[in-house]
Amino acid sequence: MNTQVPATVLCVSDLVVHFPLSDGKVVHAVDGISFEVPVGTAFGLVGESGSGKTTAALACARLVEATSGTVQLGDIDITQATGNALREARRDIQVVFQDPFSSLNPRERAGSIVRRPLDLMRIGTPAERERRVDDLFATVGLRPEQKALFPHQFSGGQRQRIGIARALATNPRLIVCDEPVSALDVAIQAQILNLLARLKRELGLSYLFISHDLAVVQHLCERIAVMYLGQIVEIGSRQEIFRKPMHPYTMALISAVPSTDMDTADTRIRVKGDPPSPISLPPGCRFAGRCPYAVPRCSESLPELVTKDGSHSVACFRADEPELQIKR
Amino acid sequence: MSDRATEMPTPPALPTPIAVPEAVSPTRQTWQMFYQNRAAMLGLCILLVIIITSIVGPLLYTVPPREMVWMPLTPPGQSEYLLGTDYLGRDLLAGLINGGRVTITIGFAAAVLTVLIGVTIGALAGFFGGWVDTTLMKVTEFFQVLPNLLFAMVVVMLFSPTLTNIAIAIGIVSWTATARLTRAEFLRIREMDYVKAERSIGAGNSRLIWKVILPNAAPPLIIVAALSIGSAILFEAGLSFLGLSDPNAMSWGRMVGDNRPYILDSVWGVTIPGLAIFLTVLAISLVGDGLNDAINPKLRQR
Amino acid sequence: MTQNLLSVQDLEISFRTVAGEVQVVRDLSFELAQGEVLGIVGESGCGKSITALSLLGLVPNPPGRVSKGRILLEGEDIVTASERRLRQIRGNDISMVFQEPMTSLNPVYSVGEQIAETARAHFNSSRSEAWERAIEMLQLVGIPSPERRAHEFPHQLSGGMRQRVMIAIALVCEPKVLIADEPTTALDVTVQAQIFDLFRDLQHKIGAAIILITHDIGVVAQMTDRVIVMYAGRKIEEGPVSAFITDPRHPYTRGLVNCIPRLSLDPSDDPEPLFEIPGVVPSPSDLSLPRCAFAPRCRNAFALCLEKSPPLLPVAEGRAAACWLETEKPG
Repeated sequence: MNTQVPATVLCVSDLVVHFPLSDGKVVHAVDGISFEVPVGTAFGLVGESGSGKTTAALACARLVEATSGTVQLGDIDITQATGNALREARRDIQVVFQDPFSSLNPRERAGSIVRRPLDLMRIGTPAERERRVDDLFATVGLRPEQKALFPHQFSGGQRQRIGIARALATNPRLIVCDEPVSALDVAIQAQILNLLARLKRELGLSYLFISHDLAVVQHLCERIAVMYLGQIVEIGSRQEIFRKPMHPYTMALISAVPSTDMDTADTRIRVKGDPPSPISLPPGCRFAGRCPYAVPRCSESLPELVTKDGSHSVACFRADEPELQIKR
Repeated sequence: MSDRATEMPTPPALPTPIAVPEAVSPTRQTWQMFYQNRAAMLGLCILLVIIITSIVGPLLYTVPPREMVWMPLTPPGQSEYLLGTDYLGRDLLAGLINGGRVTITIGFAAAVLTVLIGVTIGALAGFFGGWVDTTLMKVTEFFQVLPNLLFAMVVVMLFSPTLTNIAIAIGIVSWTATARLTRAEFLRIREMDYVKAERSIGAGNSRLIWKVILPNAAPPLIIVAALSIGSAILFEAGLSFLGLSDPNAMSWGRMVGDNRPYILDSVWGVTIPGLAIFLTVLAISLVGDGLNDAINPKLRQR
Repeated sequence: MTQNLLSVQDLEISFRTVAGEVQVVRDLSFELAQGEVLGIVGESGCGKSITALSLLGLVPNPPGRVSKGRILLEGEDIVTASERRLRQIRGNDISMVFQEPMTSLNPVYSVGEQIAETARAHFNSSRSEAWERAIEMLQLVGIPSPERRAHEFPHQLSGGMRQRVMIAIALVCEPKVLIADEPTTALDVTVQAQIFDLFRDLQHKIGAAIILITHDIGVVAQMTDRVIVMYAGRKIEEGPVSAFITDPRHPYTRGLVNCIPRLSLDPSDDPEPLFEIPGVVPSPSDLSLPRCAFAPRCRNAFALCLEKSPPLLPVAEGRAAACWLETEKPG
């Protein structure tokens, strides 16, 4: 089944997710995004609320139906798969959710939560499943004796470990992590991030990692795409994005992160206002209304994602102009 | 098939042993809270006494409830028939014991029906949403705006007043609130991440509805089901009082209805079965309130 | 030393639970000077939010109560003040901005009405004066076209706008102390940056002292002058913010400062694993033992830590920490 190992585990092209509203309007949650997740790496999707990053991730796991576009996992297009093909595909793509308090069924014991994917997909004999659950508990740093406990008897961090164990159960190739640490206390975040990093290294896992926290994404992800209102505005490697951000929005995001370095307070790019609603979108660049560098052209037509150097692409008309070059 | 399940690298050393507490299921927590609630336990005891009496009573106390056994309208304590007799000289105690059986059976049967219809409709509407929801909610609204008592009377009169028909009539007119509650719970729980998680591991709709969402929606439904037994008993009493009762069965409501014209000659004939109804419904309410307190998620979430 | 605006002395807050009364805040003392920005840092459950509520006399009672200590606002004790007096203090002297701007605003009144109502109650001014004051405040907190926005309802505003309105309500009576409990946690980073710019700006204009409660070390570094670190209901470290970031003394503070991934403008290919604080925060009922509450999670714990809880002792000019290791050090 895994005879050939392709270079990319997930290939998303031109993914569109629109939600029709009852009054005939349409929410443009995800508006034509394309990216690839190479095997054994973490790909970060960063953006603020309403950027469509979570919807995009859920569409990749077929938890939200795509309007158009393809999500290629191995030889299968997840957006089109049905029946057994979809079940097979689901083995390879699993999800870790944001809120460890709502992602575990409160009426199930921890052990049976982790065993459930094996039961539903009929993997192994019952005895093998039980042994596998013990292994998984150990892998995520829990003790097998805790299998009998119910979710409310665990702390937030431990619950997130259970969620990770459940996602690992079927030995997936890709795990979609939807803000896996943002609901946790800072001291616990480090534990979970280290666990995810270790699993990636030891199991050769790939992640599609969704977060609003740039520092977290920088820490874990080799490639990063910045989303704004349903579109990718910049995409590149970790170094490319942070050493030389090219889109004004990326720059604003980076400089808005409160730094513990006390001297950087005043070298900031500030954006005004809030993002426009994804229901009635402006015709031009979606960031133009808040962009400090916007020119009339920006609000007339939509800039396309253009590759600048290496694997670094940006969707901005003025990306090459000296005014936008970062002064270091 | 099982090859993938075993190709895991050696796990790291186990974290240091810790004292693992005893597993406490949410259900057990609820019962523990319930046991500590004195009013609810009192209600439960009263209810058990009433239920046991109406099951075992007719076997032990064999006075026929529908035959004249003494002088009519004898007050309690003045004959061998402890609670006296009614306007036809029938033993009130025998009526109470035998009527309890009928009343409580109808109450439970109607409540079961209420919950079955209500939960099914509410679950389907809440889970699927869209046109399924719209259609089912229109049906629910239709039943909601019907005048309950009149509609039940029509049903009972059309299909002869047997016990089964009465229970069905009560069930048909009282499921709407349960349906709405179920739908609301389903709408809430449907969006929970653990439902998404089940979906992402390939769970089908029927598993999601009955095995995943319903158990989590159950607590408030249990309260409603308990309380609906009480309201079904009251409803049955109302129908009997209006003369719509099974002519072949004695029930508390019927006793009240039959004795109503003679209330000036003997208050007992009306008061005793009335008190029985009151006590039963009160006990059910106490149990329902106790369940409500025990289930209240605010006390349990942490 | 200048006269302190707010002085909290030996504060203890207790909650009644099924397992008996537990202390969620113990032995907490701190001072707040005029115009100062004080940060209170800690994980959830450390007692920081309930401390903030106690400053307004808002500890939910029952099950909670201030069981010991004094909270002096310019010499007047808030703990023993009457409910009537507390209502005067809230808004006039101390006001609060909460985390969730959606649920803190009343959805059935326009934002202008809500600000004006607060102003009217406190200044005893006429309706039209209060309305003008409301518009002035909306302008002050940076809401564009305030005359129009004043007529809008909370649901018509974005999260950032709503938080600005909350700040306007909190500041309309010119309080001496503004308490902000995680004021930007529900907001996006670009909006968070705007709100903090606003706080700085307003602090210059109005000169109120601010107590900022947060779990975000970056926010603390950028916004505050002085920091208190709380763990399991106690203050375990206190000092100026620069020292807090660069040279934390308590092992917990050290963990807290180092466990967050820091944004680097020149990231490496293979980031080091993050510093971890093992284990979890103890629950209040675990705190009956006399040991240091952090000892079970502390890498440096030794015998004394398990026997006695360390007192808060000065470690440097204006700094204090509650750790036995610090007391051992010479000097």
